[in-house]
Amino acid sequence: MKTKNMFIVFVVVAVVQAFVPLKMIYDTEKINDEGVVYKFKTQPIDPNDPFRGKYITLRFEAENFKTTDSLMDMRQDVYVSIEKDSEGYARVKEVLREEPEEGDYFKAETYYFSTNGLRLNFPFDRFYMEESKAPQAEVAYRKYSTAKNPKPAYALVAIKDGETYLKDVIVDDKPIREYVMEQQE
Amino acid sequence: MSSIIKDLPELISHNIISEQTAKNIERYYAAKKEDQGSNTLMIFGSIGAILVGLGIILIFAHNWDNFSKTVKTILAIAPLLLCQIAAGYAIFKNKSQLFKDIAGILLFFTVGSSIALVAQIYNIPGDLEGYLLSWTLLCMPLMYLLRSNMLAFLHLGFITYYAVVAGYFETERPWPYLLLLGAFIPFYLRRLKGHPFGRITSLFNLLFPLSLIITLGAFLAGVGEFGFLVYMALLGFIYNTGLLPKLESRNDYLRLGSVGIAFILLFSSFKWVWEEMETQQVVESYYIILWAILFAGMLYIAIRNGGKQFYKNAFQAVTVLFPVVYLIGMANSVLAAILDNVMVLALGVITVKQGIDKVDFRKLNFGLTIIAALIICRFFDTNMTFALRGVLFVCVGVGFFVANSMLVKKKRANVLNTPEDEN
Repeated sequence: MKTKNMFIVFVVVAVVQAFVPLKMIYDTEKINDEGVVYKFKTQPIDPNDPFRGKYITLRFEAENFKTTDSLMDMRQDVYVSIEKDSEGYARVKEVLREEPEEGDYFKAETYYFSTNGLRLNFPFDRFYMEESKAPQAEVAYRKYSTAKNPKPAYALVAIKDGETYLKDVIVDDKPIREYVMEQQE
Repeated sequence: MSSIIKDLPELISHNIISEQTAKNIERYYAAKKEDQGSNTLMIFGSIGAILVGLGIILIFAHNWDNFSKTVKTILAIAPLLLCQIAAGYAIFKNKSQLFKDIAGILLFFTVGSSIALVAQIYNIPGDLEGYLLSWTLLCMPLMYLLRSNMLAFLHLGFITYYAVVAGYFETERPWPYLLLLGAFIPFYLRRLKGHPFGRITSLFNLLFPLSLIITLGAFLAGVGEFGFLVYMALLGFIYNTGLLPKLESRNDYLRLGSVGIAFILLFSSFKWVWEEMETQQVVESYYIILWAILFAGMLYIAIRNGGKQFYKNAFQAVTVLFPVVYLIGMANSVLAAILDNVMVLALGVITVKQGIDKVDFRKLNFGLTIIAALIICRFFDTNMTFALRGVLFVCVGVGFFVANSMLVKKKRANVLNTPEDEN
């Protein structure tokens, strides 16, 4: 191939390379601006990823869905339609095989079925933190949760057209970063 | 080397070698020289660039709390754009290969780091295999555009990594690996054609079959004992490829193939493997098709190499016989286990003999290792007394000493005899 053609192909490749992260940013910013924000009661644990760094994994109360419909396949993609309960926290309204036409919903995965109902995996289960803080977040949360009458920790999630954006994790009414820093002091 | 080239006209004039041979010799040394020319600086430059690239990823993975989201986002995208400009400049101005390699490697890593960092800033979910897949796909054309061997190595390494994560740690079958591997093959073939003797080519000759061996398992989740058969077909394919005249004597296909074949035979020499096989349910057609493709490929190359005598070599014979033993094993596990053990023993003995005949220490010790490994394996599923086990170990140990010292003597005798022969 001639240098000129090579260069043209390279420019195309470079545009695609840059397009991917930029599209990720654009999509998420859109959910952030236009989505409806829900609070999901949660508990954080700390693992890490070789490339993306330390994060806390979130387990949600709402991932346990009481249902008698045991016909769902495991590890199947489903649509979770969501509503707010009397205290303002997110609650699963329905688990659907088809995309709902109205209301707020997102895509999740069925995990397993037990006597307690259906266990789901929500997609927004990773919250990245500075490497020194992620392990401490887990410890701090554990301490916090064993205290007397703690307010529930929750995740702030913006939802729009089936897409989600995990904005922050709140412990004791503060963003978890601040909470961990306060505990360090 | 230069003295050989200088002597070529003389050798031609005395009819010692033909003109064609002289040309071949010249071409060989020219190719070798070219390969060495792009040597030390390129290797260290590339290692440096890889370290810098990995360093960038780690620095970002720290996740700096003090920066705002906007600053973090700019930091995620800016290195990518800078490296793209550098790589684009390298192509446009047709800069040196060193420049291209370093720009390419840095670009490779910044593509990965930009996606990772954006995912981190925005808590975008996604599994590791999906991330590795988009990363390698986005960088796939770079090895061709920058004509960079280093990028081809990175590509091969990362697609293998992807397949391992997807196939071994998750239960997905990593089909995209085949596409990504297909993208690498033309690059590899061009390299084989242009620089068949180059050091970099021989590194490809090692890493390419190694990637195949590692990745096959990623396609075999849940295969059960039939996996031995599929692996044997792949290893036979690799071994026979190593015998191709174009590749022979300067590649790791043979080495990987023979070690792999011996390993599979040893692994399947246990009684319980065959007992389990007797009770195994019907094998899914997917695995049978996979095996058939690999086995047909193996036979095709073997026949192309050796015509009707393609099974003459002990390792080739074993790969053809193994499916037969497997079929027997479906009906009679004891007989199959015995046959398997006989094959391992035969393989070991024949390799030892070849090692002695050809005064090849590597072969001799490889054969002895196979025999020793077979004995150790039998400790686990037979009720030999400790005394007998001890005696066997002593025998094998003595065997190593005796065989090697015999070979040393033989080699000395050969060296001493050679000048006399010439006189």
